[in-house]
Amino acid sequence: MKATASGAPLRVVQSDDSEALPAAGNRPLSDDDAPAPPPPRRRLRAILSKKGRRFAEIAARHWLLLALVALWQYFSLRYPDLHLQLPAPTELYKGAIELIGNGQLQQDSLASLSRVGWALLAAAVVGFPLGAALGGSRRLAWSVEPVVNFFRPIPPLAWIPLSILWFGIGDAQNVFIIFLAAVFPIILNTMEGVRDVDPQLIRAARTLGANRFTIAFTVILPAALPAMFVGFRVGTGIAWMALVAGELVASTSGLGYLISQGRYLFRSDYIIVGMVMIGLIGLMLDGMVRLLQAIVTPWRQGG
Amino acid sequence: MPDIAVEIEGVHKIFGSNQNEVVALKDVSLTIGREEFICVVGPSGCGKTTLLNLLAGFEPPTAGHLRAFGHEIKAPGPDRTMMFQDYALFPWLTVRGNIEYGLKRRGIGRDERNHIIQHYVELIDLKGFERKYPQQLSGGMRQRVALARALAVNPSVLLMDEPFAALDSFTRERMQDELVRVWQREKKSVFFITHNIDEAIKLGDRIVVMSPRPGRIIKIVTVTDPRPRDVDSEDNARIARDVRETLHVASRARGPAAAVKSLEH
Repeated sequence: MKATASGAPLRVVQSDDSEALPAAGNRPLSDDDAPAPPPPRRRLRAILSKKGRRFAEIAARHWLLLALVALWQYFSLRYPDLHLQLPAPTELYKGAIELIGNGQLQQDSLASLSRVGWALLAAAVVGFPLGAALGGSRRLAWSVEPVVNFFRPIPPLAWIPLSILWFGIGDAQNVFIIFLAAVFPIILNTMEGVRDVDPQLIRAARTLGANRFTIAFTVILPAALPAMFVGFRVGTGIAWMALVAGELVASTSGLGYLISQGRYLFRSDYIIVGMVMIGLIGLMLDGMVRLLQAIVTPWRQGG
Repeated sequence: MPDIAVEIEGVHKIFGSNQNEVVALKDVSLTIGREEFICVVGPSGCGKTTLLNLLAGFEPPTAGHLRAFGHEIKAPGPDRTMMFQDYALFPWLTVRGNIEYGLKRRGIGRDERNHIIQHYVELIDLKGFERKYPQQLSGGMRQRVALARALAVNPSVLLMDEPFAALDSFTRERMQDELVRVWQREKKSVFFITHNIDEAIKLGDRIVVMSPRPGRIIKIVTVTDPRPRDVDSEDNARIARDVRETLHVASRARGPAAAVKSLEH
């Protein structure tokens, strides 16, 4: 009883502190409370209030956003003539319920997500090995780097007309555009990551008995992994933007399609619901990549 | 001869070619005994790190021979492990993983690995930190992990490239004591590069003094004091003066005393 009470919670408090307020340490806990109550409860309360404080802080940070929405609502009600240009948030809510009710929002989100998923998979399958090869072999980079540098500055959206001629309108064309958007950051960051591996680490591995093959997988890969993740994260962000642009122009499903449909139907609430959904999913994708990053590269805290 | 660990015989090392030729080492010969602690001092550019790299097997000599236990040194190998100034720990591996790295490369089984790791974690006094990543450790602790990693594969020769130069003076002194303690227990040959003359006197059986342009050995001093040593004792102070004087004369011979200055941190 005593061991868990005085041992484990203390550790939680300490690790919490070291993350959030390095200087404050444990002091507030012992100073705030009266000296009489037993330490375990005091610590527990401290943890809870800390969690609560953090939650409150997150909520508090969104005050401006909420205030803007409220202002928007006020103006929409005050000037009902602007209904088409800027429908009120309450109308957006109705529109969203409608789109969810007939399943269109889910369908379009899923269509967009699956396109991005396939494109990212393809970009990873091509980009990581190619980037690693370019980073590892100067001779290969000598020939291939100019090719990469030629294609890289062409915006993926500029490929849309040509890709429609190649693939028609549909999934393949969309996936191709997203792939182009995501693959270059992955290639370039992986290449840099492999090039920047500390030569001392390779020497250390050699004196410990590692051969070239083992070094590639036990030194170069983990050393380059953080840079590879940066590439993947940037690629995911760009891919998501390219996707919506691609769907606006040439698609029959997806969130970009939903938005352009909204325009034809004069349903600005659909347009804005689609935009909000695009933002939310983009945020979620970034969160997922970051989570994956934290799991795969645990030695880099907060990287 | 059984009590010789490493032979360096007439070694030359030249970098570049023709006009841009730099003679990094000129006719260096040295024999390192088994369980002998050699300290190498010299200003930057005297070739001490080049010599270390040749001993590690990272590069071949331009001329001459380097042998470890009678075999020509051709490539790096776990009979000669190296410790680096900036630790060179694998940041993605824990303390445990770093120590284990060389053992895995040698194909040592799991149970024996655990046993060896246990031994070295205790030896370097890092029990309870096995699951920490290098980033979570202080400089002194990192260098201790590097020492454990280098020792774990049971090398006969330990090559150390200014391993304590990046540490603050208190930590450095503790590490020196600890290194002597570990060395006395594990009995390896040590080839230790430093630019700190006191450190060399504290640690070495012999002090090899090198001079730059071209890099060569200009003096070898034997320190016979039993350890732990008092650097300020009369004998040791005399040795320090002697080494300093030697370096000074060597740099005077070529002009400004820049070389000695780099030694006086």
